[in-house]
This record gives sequence, C-alpha cells and structure tokens, in this order.
Amino acid sequence: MTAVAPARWLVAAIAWVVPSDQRREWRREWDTELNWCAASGRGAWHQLRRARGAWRHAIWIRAQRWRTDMLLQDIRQSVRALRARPALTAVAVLTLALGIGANTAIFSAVHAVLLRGLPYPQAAQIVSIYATHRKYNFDHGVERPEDIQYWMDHAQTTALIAPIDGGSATITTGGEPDRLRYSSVTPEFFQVMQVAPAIGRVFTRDEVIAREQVVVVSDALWRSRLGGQTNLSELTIDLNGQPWRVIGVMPAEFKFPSQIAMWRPFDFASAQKAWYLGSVARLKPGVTLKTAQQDFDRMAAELERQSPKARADRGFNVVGLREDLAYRSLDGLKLLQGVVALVLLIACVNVANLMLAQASGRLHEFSVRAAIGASRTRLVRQLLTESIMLSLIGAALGAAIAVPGVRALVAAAPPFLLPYPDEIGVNWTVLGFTAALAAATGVLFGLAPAVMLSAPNLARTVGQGVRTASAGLSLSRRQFFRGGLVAVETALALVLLVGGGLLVRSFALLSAQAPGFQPENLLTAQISLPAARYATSEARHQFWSDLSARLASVPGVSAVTLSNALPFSNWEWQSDFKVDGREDIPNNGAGIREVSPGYFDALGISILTGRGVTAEDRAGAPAVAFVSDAFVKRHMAGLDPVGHRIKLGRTDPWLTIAGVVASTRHMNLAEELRPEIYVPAAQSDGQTTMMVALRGSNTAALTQPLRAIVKALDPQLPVQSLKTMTELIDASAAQPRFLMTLLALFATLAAVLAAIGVYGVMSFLVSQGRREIGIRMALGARPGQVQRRLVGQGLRVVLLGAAVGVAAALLLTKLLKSQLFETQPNDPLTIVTVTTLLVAAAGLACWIPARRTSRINPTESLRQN
Amino acid sequence: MRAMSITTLSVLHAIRDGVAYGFDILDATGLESGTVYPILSRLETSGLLRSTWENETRAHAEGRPARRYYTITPAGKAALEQATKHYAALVPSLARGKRTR
Repeated sequence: MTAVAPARWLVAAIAWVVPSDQRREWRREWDTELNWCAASGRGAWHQLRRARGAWRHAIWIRAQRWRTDMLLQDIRQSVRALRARPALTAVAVLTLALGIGANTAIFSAVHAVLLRGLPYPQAAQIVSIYATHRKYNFDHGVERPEDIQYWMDHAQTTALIAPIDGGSATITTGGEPDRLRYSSVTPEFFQVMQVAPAIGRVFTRDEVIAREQVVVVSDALWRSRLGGQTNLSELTIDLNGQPWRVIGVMPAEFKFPSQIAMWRPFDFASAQKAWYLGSVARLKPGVTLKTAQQDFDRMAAELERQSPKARADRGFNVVGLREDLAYRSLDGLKLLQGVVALVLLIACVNVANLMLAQASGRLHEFSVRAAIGASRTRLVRQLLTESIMLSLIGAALGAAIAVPGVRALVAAAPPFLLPYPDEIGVNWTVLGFTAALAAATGVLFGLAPAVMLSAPNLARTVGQGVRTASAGLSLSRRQFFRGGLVAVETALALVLLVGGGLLVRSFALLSAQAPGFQPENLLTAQISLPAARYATSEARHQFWSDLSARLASVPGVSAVTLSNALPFSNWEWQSDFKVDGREDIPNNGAGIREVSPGYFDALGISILTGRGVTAEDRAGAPAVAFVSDAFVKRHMAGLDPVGHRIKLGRTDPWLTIAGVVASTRHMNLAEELRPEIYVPAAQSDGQTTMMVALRGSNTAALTQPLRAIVKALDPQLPVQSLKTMTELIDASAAQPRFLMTLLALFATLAAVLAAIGVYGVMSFLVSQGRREIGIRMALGARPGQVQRRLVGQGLRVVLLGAAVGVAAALLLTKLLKSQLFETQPNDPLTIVTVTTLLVAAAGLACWIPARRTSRINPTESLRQN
Repeated sequence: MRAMSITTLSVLHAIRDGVAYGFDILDATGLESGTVYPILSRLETSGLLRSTWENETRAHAEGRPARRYYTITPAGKAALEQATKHYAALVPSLARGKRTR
C-alpha cells in the first residue's frame, strides 16, 4: 500500500532541507509513516496533513546541524587564521604559556598547602593552641603545663586537649646511626586526631604511667628502617642505646606534627613545671574557631584576674589545624600567587594587544563578512573561538612547563616554606584550575578585540577599504584603546618590578651584613651523646677532648673547636645574668655559649681586650667568662670589663671576665649584633650535644676523616648536620633569597612582556601610518623628526602607565614590609631605578619600529596608498 | 536540566508502554506528526531513546513497509520517572487552586 502522490512529493521536496548525509534515512522514515497511514486506510487529506509535519522535523534536524557545524566552522576558521600568522600565534601562545605555567606551578603549592583536604576526620574541629604576649609581640608561643591543665579543667568549647612534647633521639636500628625527631604524646593525642594506626595499636594510659618503652612509628620509618615488617610482636628499635618496643605503625598520610618519625608516651601528670609544651585539641561538634577563641580569651582574663602581675599581656591563640600547618608558608604563598596573577594579567593584556594588531589587519575580511550577512554575534564568536583556542594551546604548554617548574620550586624552596613537599605536584585539581584559567584568560583577552572589530559601523569601512580606515599618526579610537592597554601593561609591570627591586635591594643589604666572624673554610657538624651511656660529666668531657685532639691531628685541619651553639646552627641558649654592682638594672638575658679552647681563633672572632679561652680554663681553675662588645656596650657601660665579675642565673657562682670579643650574629644576618657570654666548656657539667667546627682550606676533604674519627670513638654515634658555615649562613637567608629570586624572575618576565607590548603597538602604528609618514616626508619632514614624533607618542603612553604604576606600587609594596630588611617599601632609589629601566626598555621598544620610517620612500608609500 | 514538556512526557510514556513505531505513537498520543518526529529525534540525540530498523525482507514477506522501532533506554526511564513525579506533585496543587476559586 503506497501513500498518495502529493503527500510523497511534499516529503520529497521537504527532504532537501535535511542535511544530505541524513537525508536518506529521514526519507525512509517519512515514507514508511505515509505508507502505514495509507495501509491503515487513512484518506489522501489525512496523508497530506501527516506529510506537512515532515517540515518541522526537517527544520529541527537542520537547526541541530547548524549548531554543531558552526562551532566546527569557527574552529576551522580559527585554526586557519592562527596558522596564517605563525609568528604572532607563537608569541601569543608562548606569552600565555609562561603566564599560565607560572600560575599552575604556584597554584600546585597553594593547593597542596592551603586547599587540599587534610587526612583527619572533621579536621576543621582540630586546633592548636598557643601562648601570646602583647608586649613581646608573639602569638605562637609554647605553653606551660599548668596552663594546659587549666584549659583541661575549664575549657567549655573543647572535647579533648592533648599536650605535645618532643625531642630527638639517635636510632641505631636498620642502618647507619641517625638522629630522628619524635613527639611525646598522651593517648588523647590519637583521639584528637581521630586516626588509628594502620598496624598495631597506640599506647594505653597504663603504659604511659608505667613509663614503658613503647613507641608508635611513622610509615616512612617503618618502611626505611624496619623493612615494612607486619608482625610487630617481636619488633624493637634502639633509641639512644635503649630498646623500645614498636606497638603501632601510623598510616602513610598521617604526618602530624610535621617531620616526626615516631610518637612516644608522655606522662603529662608528672610533667615538670618548667617545661613548655605544644598542644592540639578537638573542638566540640558545632563549635567554631571564633567561639573557641572567645572561650580561651575568657580563661586568659580569668587567669589575669587571679594573678594580675604574672599574667599581664598574656593570652591564648586558637589556630585551626590547616592554618597552623601553613603558618610559615601562608604569607609567601599568598604573595607569590598574587604576583603570578599579575604576570598572567600582563600576558592577557599583551595577547589582547597582539590580537588587536592582527584584527586590524583583518578589518577588511570582517567588513566583508558583516556586509554579506554575518551577524555581530557570529563575528564575536569567531574571534572568541580564536582566543580561547590560543589560550588552550597556551594552557597545555603552560601545564607542561609547570611540571618541571613545580619540581624546581620545591627543590629551591626552604623546607619550612612548603610543608610536605612530596605532596606538591600537578594533579587533576591543578589541571582543572589551569583549564578554567585558560578559558577565563581566553575570554579576557579575546573580548576586547572581538567587541572592537565587530562594531556596528563596520560595514561602512568596506567601501572605504582598510587603507583609509587607519588613522595614521593620530590615535584613532581603536589605537587609543591599544594605547590604554600598553599603559595598563606598563603599570602592572612596574608594580612587579618595584616589588622585585625592593626584595633584591633588601637581600643585597642583608648579604652585605657581616656575621662578626670569618665563615669561610669552616666545616660544622653536630654530635649528640646518649645520656645513658655518657652518664657522668667526666665521660662527656673525656669524649669531647678526645674528639678535639684526634680532629686536630687530621692533615689539612688548621683549627678545631666545639660549642654548644655555633652561630647559624639554629641552636640558641639564653640565660639570665647579673653584672656585679649592677644587680638592680633589669635585663632580658644574653646568649650563653659553652666553648672549647681556641674557639675565637678558630671562628675568626677578634679578641678586643684580655684573652681567649685556653686549655688552662679547666674544671677547678678560676671560673672565667668572656663577653661580646655588644654585651659591654649594653650592660657594662662605664665599667672596665676585664676582671669584673658576672653571674649566670641567680644562684650560680661569680665568673670573672677574662676577655672581650667582637660581637657576632647568631640566628640570621638580619638580627642585631648580640650581647653574648662565653664560658669554657671544661668548666661546665659537660654537654651531651656539641657542635664541632673545623677550619681547613678544603672543607670537602674533611668530611670523611670527621666521620671516621667519630665512628672510631663510638660506632653508635651519628654525625648530624654536616655543613659548611657558608651553607649555614645561606640557609638562614633561604626564605628571603627564595622570595627575591622568584619575584625578580616574575618581574623581569613582566617587564619583557610589557616591552613586547610596546613594540607591538609601535610596529602597528608605523605600518598603519605609512601614508601619513609618506606625506610628511614628501612635505620635507626629515626621518629624524618623524621618528622623534613616533617615539614621543609611544613614550607618552608608557610614562602615563609608569605614573599609574608607581602610585599602585606605593600602595601595594606595603604588603612586602615584613619581607624587607633595612629597606622601606617606598624606597626612592629602587623606585627611580626600576622606573628608569622600564621606561628605557620601553623607549627602545618604541625606537626600533620607529627607525623603520627612515626606510619609507615617500613617493612609493603615497603611490601604494 | 530543563523540565520535560507534557508532550515529550506522553511520547516517552507511550514508548515505555511498548508502543514502538512512529505511526502507532501518533495514534496513541493523538499528537501531530510535526510534533512527534522532532521529539523522537531529540530524545534519541539525548540518549533517552534508541532506534533500529526492522529487517526489510521480513517486513516485505509480511507485505508491509519496514518500520523504525523505538525503545526506551535506562536514562530515558529515569528521566520519565523524574518527570512523572514532577507532574504528579504538580497536579494536586493545581487541583487545590481550582477548589478555592
């Protein structure tokens, strides 16, 4: 049964609307429909009505096709447009890749440190609590046990509080002796963190009270030293020469506190009063950080009411776990993320400028397309497709740059700046961020050219042609816009350059600081004696003097000395003191160093008056001390120091000052010269941990003999922190150096991008203004005059940008204040220098294309136009 | 996702109930061919329906044209269920609106 002819014809006619590749199937379906209609006995009229419905179906299919086709077409045309201008495309892609790559790399770190979920259940309820002191301006201090006990008894917002003590111990199991950090915690610690061991168990209250030697180890320690043994029943490790039973292994992702290898039982109840402890707590469900802080403020106020004198200015600081872990990295990472965001913004402005330049060259193409009916939306879409494609290619390249970039970042970063470095990398979240960034970037730099080019009056330019559409040497609306972009770019680059310049200047001043001794050719190391095996003062003194004697005989060693706190070793001992006859004058303590004979000579610290430490200053000999000239200036003004008496603490015996030495810096180069007191190590009780310093012209060759001698004296002793003094000083400046290097790098990148931007605009101005230049030159203008005019025009825009940039820099560099050493955020020298540099670079970028005008032949250019 | 129109719902519903061919769907729903066929194409494009052509020789042997056979996909079933719930929830409130007037 076949349908009536008019119905079939109608369907056949409508079929032409359907895209050819779908037409056959479409026809088949509609023919079947009509045939069934006929077969079921419906009349011709009914069949015609059915056939009429084919029209809407065909239109729907065609519209669908248009939608997908147009996108494909946009992409095809974009690829063609980008390939037609390979140099421009390459510059744009590279610019974006650098901007997006830098952002991806820094975001990897930001994500790992600040955004990633923590591996602890309801981590938002975990807090650390610190002591604060308004007068001394600290808010991350450790706490006294009696305060922690007070919280335990009176806090209303915490469910559990766990005090944390810690230290380091020498491990001799499963490899060479090494010194590892441990935390001493109560069983509540694991309840606060709500993490159970992956294997075994944590210690019980009974084990804590009985002081049993049981330990829970980290996954890393368990793998590296215990061979990943799952049966813990017989497992022990040797710590400081004592066997400790391993009862649990924490999961690999459990890393709290950071860089801890094991957790040992801590008997808080019998903690001595003098101890200072860290603490971690879990807030009750639903309690916010703010409420908890109010609770601790209340307790601080109550304590102050009870003993106003002792508790004045003291308080407590409740810090969320994430913020606590990121405490040291927060400022640096925020700064870097801000800096790379600016770099990306400059890259966007630059590419927008490049796109505008090329779009101007395509004015004719777009005018024609608009004239034959392309809608404004269609043209905008086409240009946006181009820019998004550019940014996606840039993003892919940027992600590829970011992978080694992140590795370099982690390798170069000081360890405390990026906690958990092994977890920083380009992962799916980071790539998602990159993709989103690329899309946003594409729209950002694509929108301006798209809107400018698809302007409604575009069609009018068709008749006039492109040549007259350009405005020559005076800035047209479009060129004015481009000039504005250059000014923005210059301003942004200048902000970064001022920031980078300030950090460079600050670092130069820091590096030029004298440490107060001669750091070259000094090898240092730390050695700790287990108290159990070196229980007596004599045993300890014997070891240290044997070590000194043996090291002195090593060929190439010109001096050997020991101290309990070498400069820049990150160790500090402070002591109260009294100056004879000045007991009434308060002081806030001085650095106290126990040193072996020849210390000042070995380190190159000048002896100003009196003498240095000698072998005669032994136990039983008159007790002596040596002080730094900073000490004399601050605490002994008007006194003759040599022969005068001082006292450490309140009860110690009087010491006679035997010499005054030059002052040194101890923790970092930025600090003031220190008031310090040196005492002969032989007249003390004998330290368990000492630092050794060897002077020799080839420090690298001294490492092996040092290890061998320590091993010969005691095979179970690790030699720790083997570093040259120069390395120690460098490490003390690691954070400023790291920030300075990165900021200088990004600022330079920004300046180069800005110069490229200026160059692009000037090139465009020259090439578009050939006609006017031709006329001027035909009328007698010399090339030099034309060039001056062009350069002047470019520089006006640059100077405008620079002025805005300096103003913005003055506002923004205040954020850098905490990172600067002896440099003001508005340092005029830095601002003038970098502004001059940037303007000079921009001037050069103006002059190179302007120079081309001298090659313009007036008659030729007039004839061409 | 946009709410499914009542016409789309009735087409999907008919197919779920075993009405498998264009011609029958028109009859079952009482809708125009110009409405039903674009709906079928759209539902197939969005994965709520699947279609296959009947074996031609068999159809000829039975003396009738071969037909396009539509079946509902699991996604289609889920969408249908959601839309049905949506309208089911709407109806009582519509009814209430009428009563108070």
